[in-house]
Amino acid sequence: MKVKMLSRNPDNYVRETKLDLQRVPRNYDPTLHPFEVPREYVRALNATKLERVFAKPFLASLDGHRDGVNCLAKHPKSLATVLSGACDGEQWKMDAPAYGEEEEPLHTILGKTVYTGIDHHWKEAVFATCGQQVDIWDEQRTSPICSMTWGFDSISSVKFNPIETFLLGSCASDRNIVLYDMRQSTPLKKVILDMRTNTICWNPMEAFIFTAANEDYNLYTFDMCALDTPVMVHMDHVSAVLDVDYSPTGKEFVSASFDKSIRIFPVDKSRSREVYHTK
Amino acid sequence: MERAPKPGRDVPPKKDKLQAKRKKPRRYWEEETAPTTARASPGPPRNKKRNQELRPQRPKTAHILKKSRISKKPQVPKKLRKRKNPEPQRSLSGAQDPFPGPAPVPVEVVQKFCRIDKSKKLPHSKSKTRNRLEVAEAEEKETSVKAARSELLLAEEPGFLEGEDGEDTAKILQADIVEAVDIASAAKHFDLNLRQFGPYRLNYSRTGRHLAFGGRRGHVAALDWVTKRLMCEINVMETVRDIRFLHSEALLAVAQNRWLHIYDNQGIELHCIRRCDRVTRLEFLPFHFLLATASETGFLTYLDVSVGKIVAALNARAGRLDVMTWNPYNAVIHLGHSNGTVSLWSPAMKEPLAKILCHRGGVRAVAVDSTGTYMATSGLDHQLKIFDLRGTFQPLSARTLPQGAGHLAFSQRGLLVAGMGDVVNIWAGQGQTGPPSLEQPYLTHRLSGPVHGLQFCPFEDVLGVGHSGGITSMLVPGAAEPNFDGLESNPYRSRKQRQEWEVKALLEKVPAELICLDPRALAEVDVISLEQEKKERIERLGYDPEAKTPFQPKPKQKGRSSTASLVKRKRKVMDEDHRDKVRQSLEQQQHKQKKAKPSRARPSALDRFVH
Repeated sequence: MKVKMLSRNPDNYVRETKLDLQRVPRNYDPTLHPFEVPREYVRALNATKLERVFAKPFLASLDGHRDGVNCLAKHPKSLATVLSGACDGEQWKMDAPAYGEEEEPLHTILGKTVYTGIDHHWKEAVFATCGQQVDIWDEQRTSPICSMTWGFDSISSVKFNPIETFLLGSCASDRNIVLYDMRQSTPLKKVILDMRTNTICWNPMEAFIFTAANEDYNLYTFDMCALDTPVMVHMDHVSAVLDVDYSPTGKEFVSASFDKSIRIFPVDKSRSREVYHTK
Repeated sequence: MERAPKPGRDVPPKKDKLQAKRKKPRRYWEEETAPTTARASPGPPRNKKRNQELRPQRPKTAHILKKSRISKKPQVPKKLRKRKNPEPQRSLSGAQDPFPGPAPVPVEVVQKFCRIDKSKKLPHSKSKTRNRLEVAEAEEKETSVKAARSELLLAEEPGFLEGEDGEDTAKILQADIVEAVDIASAAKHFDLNLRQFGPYRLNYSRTGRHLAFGGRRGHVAALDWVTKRLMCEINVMETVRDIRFLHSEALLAVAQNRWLHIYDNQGIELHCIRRCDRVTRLEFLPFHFLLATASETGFLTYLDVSVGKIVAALNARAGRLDVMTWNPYNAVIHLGHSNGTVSLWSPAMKEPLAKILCHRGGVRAVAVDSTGTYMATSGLDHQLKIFDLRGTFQPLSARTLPQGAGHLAFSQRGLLVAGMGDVVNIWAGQGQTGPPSLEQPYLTHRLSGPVHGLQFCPFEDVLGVGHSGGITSMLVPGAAEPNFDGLESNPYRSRKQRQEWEVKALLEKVPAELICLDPRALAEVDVISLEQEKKERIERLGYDPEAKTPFQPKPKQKGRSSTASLVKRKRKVMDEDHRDKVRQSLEQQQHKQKKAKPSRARPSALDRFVH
């Protein structure tokens, strides 16, 4: 009779000293790994739930204003400086960790019409305001260098392009977005959408791409060279989108909406990656 | 998907011609062999022509090899296939590899690792879905070949027992095997003489390292049977009907006379579950953390041991339940009844998933093999039958036994053991595919009392038998899977490894609602919901967006687009569609007629009253 029994040498399976790694022999036979599909399903479900559990995005609440905060401005070079303005005229310079105090303005200019938006040039000592028309101002002068307009309606916001710094974009209340050239002091191009755009933001990494936050709950990313169709339509908000800002990487942007939520969209996707909200 | 650009694509054709005219530089080994005229050894191929001869020859010779071998790389769709043909191997000595190409892999082993069921076809599949499926199938082919190759790394070989010169292995005694085998294996054979506390039932833990047994008169013990270290030994002062380890060797479930009790492996009673009363049989489903209990009251109760809740209490409506086993492939519970049927249960459904008529008398024992393909049943009619569970639920083989088998068990490698009175018979199968052949038993053994419990030890060539005289551990060469997976059940795990494994197993605990006959059902396309959604979309939109648009003939120039010819073309296409439909309906009618005919074959005298 020929007989052989299965006998394992424990030396091959148990580690020699406490300082060694444990030995883990592997056998990929599917019989030894039953229920692959349901276990994978449970793992995927758990991973998604834990990812949400650990996603705590809320860091801090910067208190101090006595009235509603209406506008925010970032310092283009300094990471820690943020300016905020309240509805009662108060301005705060948030310089982490301490909050700043009020300062006296250097220069006061009285204009003829209501100003609805303001933006500063990224390089030169020039800023632009908008109201009835887009005015380009020099910091030292009291009257605008040039005024540009295309159409008869009021303009709600204006933004300078961070890369091609002579370009400006503005949103008007007759549902259009107009691009201006500061060197030639003329409007360049216009695109008319179905509903009014609240603000636009230029991509800090791509020279001619900007994203418009529209009233029809969507955001449209346009390429300035071909304004007839948007590069991407971002659909996820359930109410009007009020503001948009790009991340310095140029790969994502954040949008704030009237539906009390903030969404982070990747530039190349039409759906948001992340949504934040308070109660 | 874009292919990498061909190397010669960017080069304009003129240059190629120039290159062909220029002579290729000779390599140093070609120069050495060129002057020799004697061809004692086959030198490296000198001419281009010879190279070309060799290259197409290789795949041809590959086909002549044995039928069952895959000898070249699997065919993948053109997009994924490698572009270059591998050069014939040349060494400095001039010898050529006599076995060119990758090593052959046996087809059965590759088949083991294939998971996609290619017979199922998706209805209404779009080209995108079909493309993705094709890519997935090609990947599966490649990975299954690689996994089959990795089997080379498995360290252990299974055991075997062969008789010499027509010797019947069934007549070989355990004592002879113990003498012939090495000391470590001989120590695995032992007899515990425990006559005082009644017939014993036993259970091995999932890793095969620990053994728990319970005697009818209340004796409960748990030990590490390899090192013979006793973990606990108590008397519960009540009838013990069944005993099971829970997910690890730390917890024991004991079905006592009145209720179900959970003990620690130190003998401390942890729980007394009063909702499970008069339990006759226990089964533990390890991946769902469910303890299934069959009771005399006819209820099958599932208890989730991780949260401590009763998941389902199903009324089997078949009287007293005392034959139960679980299917390791899909975690379905098989109950045997006194009317000869075996019913399959899942905690998600109030009714059994299936009922199989197995025997003419009552069913006395059921066992399912580890792949969930075969079910062995034995009944009061002295028959032992093997059924096919994964296809047709039909009996594959049957055998009349001299005495009815009251206990059945399968081993990891497909050996079947039947306990008939005080004798156990073990049958072995032909290889690992196919049910065990019931002609000749592989091994037999007589015990000192009637058998009350049988289980093969998971990763050892050992069969544990509980009988009225105590516990016997028998040697069965070739019973167990030789190579375990360290991340699933590792008999040599340390305390830390066990803790880590327990946490991961709890995190991966499968919900009880997912138990069904096909465990891969979640991975399939939910065809019913797809069709439901399609109907709803048609209702909502008012029309079917995926319906074929009616044929619009293209207005062709050159005088062929007069109204009459357009109408003619439209008519032609419509007629063709109509003809196809009529043909299909005719075929369906013929099918129905064929099916209906045999039922109307026999005219009976009562027909006059029907019409």
